[in-house]
Amino acid sequence: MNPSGTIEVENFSLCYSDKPAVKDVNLRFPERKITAVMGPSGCGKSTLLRSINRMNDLIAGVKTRGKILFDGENIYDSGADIYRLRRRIGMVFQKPNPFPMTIFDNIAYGIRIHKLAKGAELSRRVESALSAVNLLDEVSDRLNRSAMELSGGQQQRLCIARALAAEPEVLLLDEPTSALDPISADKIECLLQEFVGKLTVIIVTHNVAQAARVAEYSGFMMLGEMVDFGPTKELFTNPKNRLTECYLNGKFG
Amino acid sequence: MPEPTSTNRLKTQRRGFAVFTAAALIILLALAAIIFFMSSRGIKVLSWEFITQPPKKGMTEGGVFPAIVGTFLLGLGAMLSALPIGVLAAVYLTEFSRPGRFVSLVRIGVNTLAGMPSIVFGLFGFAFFVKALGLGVSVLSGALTLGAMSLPIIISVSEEALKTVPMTFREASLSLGATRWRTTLKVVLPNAVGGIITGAILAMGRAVGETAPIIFTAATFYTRRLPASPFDEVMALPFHIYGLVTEGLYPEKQLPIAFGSALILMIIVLSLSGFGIFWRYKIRKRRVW
Ligand SMILES: Nc1ncnc2c1ncn2[C@@H]1O[C@H](COP(=O)(O)OP(=O)(O)OP(=O)(O)O)[C@@H](O)[C@H]1O
Ligand SMILES: [Mg+2]
Repeated sequence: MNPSGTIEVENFSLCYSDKPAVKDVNLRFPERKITAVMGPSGCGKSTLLRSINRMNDLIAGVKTRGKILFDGENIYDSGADIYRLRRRIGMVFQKPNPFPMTIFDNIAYGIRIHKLAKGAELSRRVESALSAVNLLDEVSDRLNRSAMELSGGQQQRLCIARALAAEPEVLLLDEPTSALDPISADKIECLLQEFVGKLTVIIVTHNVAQAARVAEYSGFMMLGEMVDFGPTKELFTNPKNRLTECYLNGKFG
Repeated sequence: MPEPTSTNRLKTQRRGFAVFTAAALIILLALAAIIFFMSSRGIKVLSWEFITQPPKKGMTEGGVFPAIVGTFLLGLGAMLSALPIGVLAAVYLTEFSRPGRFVSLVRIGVNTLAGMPSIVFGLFGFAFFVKALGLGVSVLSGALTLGAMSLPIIISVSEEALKTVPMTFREASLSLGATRWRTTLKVVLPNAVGGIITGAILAMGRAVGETAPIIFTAATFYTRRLPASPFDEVMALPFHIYGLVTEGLYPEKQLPIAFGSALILMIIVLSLSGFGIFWRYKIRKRRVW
C-alpha cells in the first residue's frame, strides 16, 4: 500500500470546452513534503491544482483525460466520493475567503459538515486548528466575533486553519501569499515548514524566491505542460529545461 | 461645413444636457402632481374614525378599516405563498442548474408570467383557486392569485440576491467537502436572505395595489366585519375604490371617500417601497464583503 498523502498524476490533461489548459502531465508529488509549482501566468498551474480536489467539476464544459491517483485510487473514477476527497485534500485560495461568520464557526465548518466532532471536542479541535496556524493567541478572546474583522494575513491563516480542521492529508495552496503584505506572507511561509512530515503540501506561486525558500521539490509549467520537475535545489542550480532557466532568471513571467 | 469649435460643442452639450434634465424633471413633477392631487382631495375625509371604523350606510359614511386590514392580509398571504416557491426556483436557477434547454424554458416561463396582464391572473385565480380547488371567493384564493402574479418578481429579486453572494464563499465551502445543497443552505442563503426579504417587501407593495387579480377571487364591495377565516371574503382598498367610483347610489358622497381610500393605499404602497429601499440600502452598507 501507498503511504497516505500520495498524489500521482498520470497522463493527465484537461480542457475548458475546447481550450486545452493542462496537457499530459505526469508526476508524483512527494508525500508529506512541500512542492512548489511555478510558471508564467495562464500556463495552467491553478487548473492543475484544482484538478487534484476536483474543484474543476464546478465549471461547465470541463473535460479531463488520464488519471490522478490519491493513495493509489483514481479520483476521476466514476465511483469516487468527491466530498470525502475534498475533506482529505484541503485548499487555500489566492484571496483570503473566510465565511462571513464568527471565527469559531469558520473553523468548525468542516468539522460539522463531516460530523467529526461536537461539543467540547469540537471546541478543542477549533482551538488546536487555530494554534496550528499561530492564530490562537491573537484571537482567543474573540472567537465569537466575525472573521471579517481580521486583517488580511490573519484571514489567510484562518483559511488555512479552516482547511486543517477537516483533518486533510494534502493541502493545496494557490498563490496563498500574493495578496498579502511581506510580513504576513513570511508568517505563512514559516507555517508551511511546520507541515513538513505531516501533510503533502502543493503550493502554486509566482514568486521564485518563495519557491526556493519553502519547497523541497519544484515543478515548472509552460503552456499547460510540466516541463521541469525535481528537487528545488537541482531545478534552481541546474535546470534541465531552457525555459525554466529563463523563467528563474526573470527573463519572462 | 465649418469645423465645430469647442464653444460650439459646449453649447450642443449644454443643450443635450438640458433635454435630459427636463425629462428627469417631468418625472418628478408627475410624481409631485399625483401626490399633491391625491392628498388635497383625500385629506378632507381622513380622520381617526376613517382609518379605524367599518363603512356605514351603504358606503356613504364610516371608514375603511376592513379594507385596510384586508389589503394587508392579501399582501402578506401573497408573499407567504410566493416566497417558498420563488426562492426555491431562484436557488435552482442560480445554484443548481447548468445552462441548457430546461433552464431556458424556465426562464422564458418566468418572463412570460411577468408579462401576463393582471386581469388574466384574476380570471385564472377564479377558475383555478375559487372553482377548481373549491376555495371560494376568499382571502386564500386572493392571496394565492396575487402570489402567482408576484412569482416572477420574487424569483428575480431572489436571483439578484443570490448572485451578490461572492463565488469565493461557495468555493470555500465546496472545497471543504460540503455538498451544493449544504453550501446553499449554510453559506449562500444566509447571506442572501436580507436581499430576498427586502425584494419581497417591494413585491408586496406592488401586489397590494392590484385590483384585477382580486376582483373575482377575494374582494367584496361591502362588509362591516373582518374575515373570520382564510375562507371568508374580504374588503381591500383597490377594489373598494373601484366600487365607490363605479357603483352605489350616492356618487357625490362616495367620491370623497374614494379619494381618501386612494390616499391611504398610496401611503401604504409608498411606505412599503420606502421601507424596502431603506432596508436594502442598510444591508448594502453593512455588507462586509
Ligand atoms: N473557467 C475557465 N474557463 C475557460 N478557460 C479557463 C478557465 N479558467 C482558466 N482558463 C484558461 O486556462 C488557462 C490556464 O489557466 P490557469 O488559471 O490554470 O492559469 P495559471 O497558471 O493559474 O495562471 P495565473 O498565474 O495567472 O494564476 C488559461 O489560458 C486560462 O485562460
Ligand atoms: Mg492561477
